[in-house]
Amino acid sequence: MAGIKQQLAYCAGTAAVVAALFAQNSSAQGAKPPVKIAGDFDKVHVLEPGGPAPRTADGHPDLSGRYYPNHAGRMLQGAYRIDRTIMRQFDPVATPQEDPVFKTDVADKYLHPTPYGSCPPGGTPTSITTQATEHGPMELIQVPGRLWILSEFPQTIRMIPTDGRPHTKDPDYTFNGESVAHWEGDTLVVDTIHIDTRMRNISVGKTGDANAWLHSEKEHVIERFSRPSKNYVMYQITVEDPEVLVKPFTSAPHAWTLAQDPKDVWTEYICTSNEDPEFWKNVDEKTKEEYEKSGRGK
Amino acid sequence: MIRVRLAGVLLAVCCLLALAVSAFAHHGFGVEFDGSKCMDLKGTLSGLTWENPHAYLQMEVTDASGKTVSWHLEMITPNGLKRNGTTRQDFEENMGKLMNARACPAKIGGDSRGAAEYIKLADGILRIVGQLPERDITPDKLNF
Repeated sequence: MAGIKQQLAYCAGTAAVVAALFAQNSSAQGAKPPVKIAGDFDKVHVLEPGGPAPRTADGHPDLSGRYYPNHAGRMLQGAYRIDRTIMRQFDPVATPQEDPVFKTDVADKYLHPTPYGSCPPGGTPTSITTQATEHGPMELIQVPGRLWILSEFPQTIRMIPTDGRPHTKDPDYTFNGESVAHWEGDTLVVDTIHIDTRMRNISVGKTGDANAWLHSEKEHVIERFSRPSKNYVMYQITVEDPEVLVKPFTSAPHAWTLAQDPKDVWTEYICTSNEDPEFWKNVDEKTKEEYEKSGRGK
Repeated sequence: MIRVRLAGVLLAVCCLLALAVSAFAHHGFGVEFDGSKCMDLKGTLSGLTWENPHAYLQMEVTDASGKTVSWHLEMITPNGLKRNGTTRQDFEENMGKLMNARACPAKIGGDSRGAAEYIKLADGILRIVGQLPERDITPDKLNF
């Protein structure tokens, strides 16, 4: 399978080169010249490592920064036909990622696409993983003893103690769950339990809202953050849920890149458009039918 | 001729690979909008709704029979539009002026509701403002 993907990648590269040559030739014969599109997408490239990661006074890597879920150091959109090596967060050949393996009898209860046009609340790990489809950046603010994680959409604030403390006894069930963290070398390991069961796992495994899934009260999420260089943060998750999964799901390490535009500021993203509940209710029902007919986005 | 065929075959490979990118679609556009009925619209920019989770533009389009239809076209999020070169001010400065859009109608929710793919406001700048239900559309295929 990996070999086929590699061959396809080579074909795509060859096709792009040939298509470009063909386009140039056509242009010379009077066809439309290349069209300039707003957004400076012709300047997008794979961001260089940028030197060593900064460190805090206690010697740990400083994770602080605003990061985007791609290799470009800026927000992108899939519609712009950006090279996959820039858009993607991991190389499926070099670091393959197995899809979550669900138990056979859980589909009705747990495998639910996100309703179209809705703004589901964030939580762990969705407020981070859902950015795989370019909803916005992840902002990390590391201060002594804690890490703050901010997400534009779903607008989420997480405060995580990083002093190695254990979980409290019987914490409340919340969308973010209870997170505690400790350092393993240069990797911050965040352990989260007691996540509200209304929190959908989005882009945990297959990307996109069509592949969203719910979880049980037993869900346990382990996130690993590292900063191998100034411009890159790597993020990897393991999700355990004995009620839903045959075995724990472990993602590939996903790359996030440091925002490069100094004018790029935090944006408010509060959903206000669900003002016609009957309309959206109908849309959701229809969407659900369409998703089911389509084989859940396969 | 051989070069043309080779380019065609390889471009087809690219298109197939582009289908794989559909996994990145926001909220399942391919399910919500009909990528087989997309059209070039020419009309007047008459409104903008700058809100989350999607921004919308309104344009008045008069067909060959003289009937004017007000199209309500969905775009991506304001934070995505702004970071990709299209701002609320761009729309406001071109309000009431002629514009073009490549749009795909919604499968549900009304006959004049759709998703905008490419637009060109009166300032002449081509912009991608939505996901692309129509997977093989490229700027050179637009009639504006």
